[in-house]
Amino acid sequence: MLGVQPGDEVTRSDAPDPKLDLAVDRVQKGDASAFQEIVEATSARLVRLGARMMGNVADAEDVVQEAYVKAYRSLVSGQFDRRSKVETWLYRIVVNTTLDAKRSRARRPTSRDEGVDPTWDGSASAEARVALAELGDLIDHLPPDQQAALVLKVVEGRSSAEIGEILGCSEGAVEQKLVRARAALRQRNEIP
Amino acid sequence: MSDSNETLDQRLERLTDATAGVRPRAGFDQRVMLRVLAEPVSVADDLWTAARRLVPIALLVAVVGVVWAVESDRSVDDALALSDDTVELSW
Repeated sequence: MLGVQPGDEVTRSDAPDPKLDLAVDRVQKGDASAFQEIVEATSARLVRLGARMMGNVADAEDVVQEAYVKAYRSLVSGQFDRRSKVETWLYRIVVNTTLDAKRSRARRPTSRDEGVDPTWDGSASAEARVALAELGDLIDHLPPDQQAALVLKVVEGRSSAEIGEILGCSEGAVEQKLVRARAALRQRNEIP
Repeated sequence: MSDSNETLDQRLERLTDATAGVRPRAGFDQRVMLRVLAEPVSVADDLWTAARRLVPIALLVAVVGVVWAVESDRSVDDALALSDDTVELSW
């Protein structure tokens, strides 16, 4: 089933994660080490999201690391106002940081393989690497907002409501982006 | 492997399944924490935090001050307009 990932640590639901909320409280009160709990609870799925958008894990790790630093700064400076769930907020930072990185990469094109970790071993990893590259190539020509909407909805299995929170738009706007993205992909790749 | 007959949805589902096991490399969490803990605590950040709390209060004080000044000026004008005293001018 699309979007349900083996080994997911958290059951997909709209309820906030109390452990993350507690860790955020502690970071905001000055306990920097509490941020590690946030990283450990979220890094796997954020790097997976980043990899699916960037096309490889190495670039995704760079992007997600930068996103975590931005998140930490926001928590420490009191800029996170808890209007959204911690996870949704982190997804928003990762998506925005990823799209910024893709724009920078578009301005100075490099070979996609430059970011690939040559020490990665295992046949499953090779298959995943090929699939990541294929997914990256598939969505690369779409506008950034459509890339994000498509990956979040179809690949990550997020609801349109949550995607709207992540992208800062309405559910209707998310649905529009998805329709346009699919139409563009079908036309460009000549697939039904 | 891609199949030229697969639909878009089939292709996306295949790519979703193939990338489901993607995880960060070993030590990623530790690298993140090293980077986070190395973040300098800047004076600018502290000033920004304090300013965010003080600015609303300062704005309120400013508004109250302006209202008070306008009202004071008005009551002075009213007082002058209602004054029964004549002003003697000496040439």
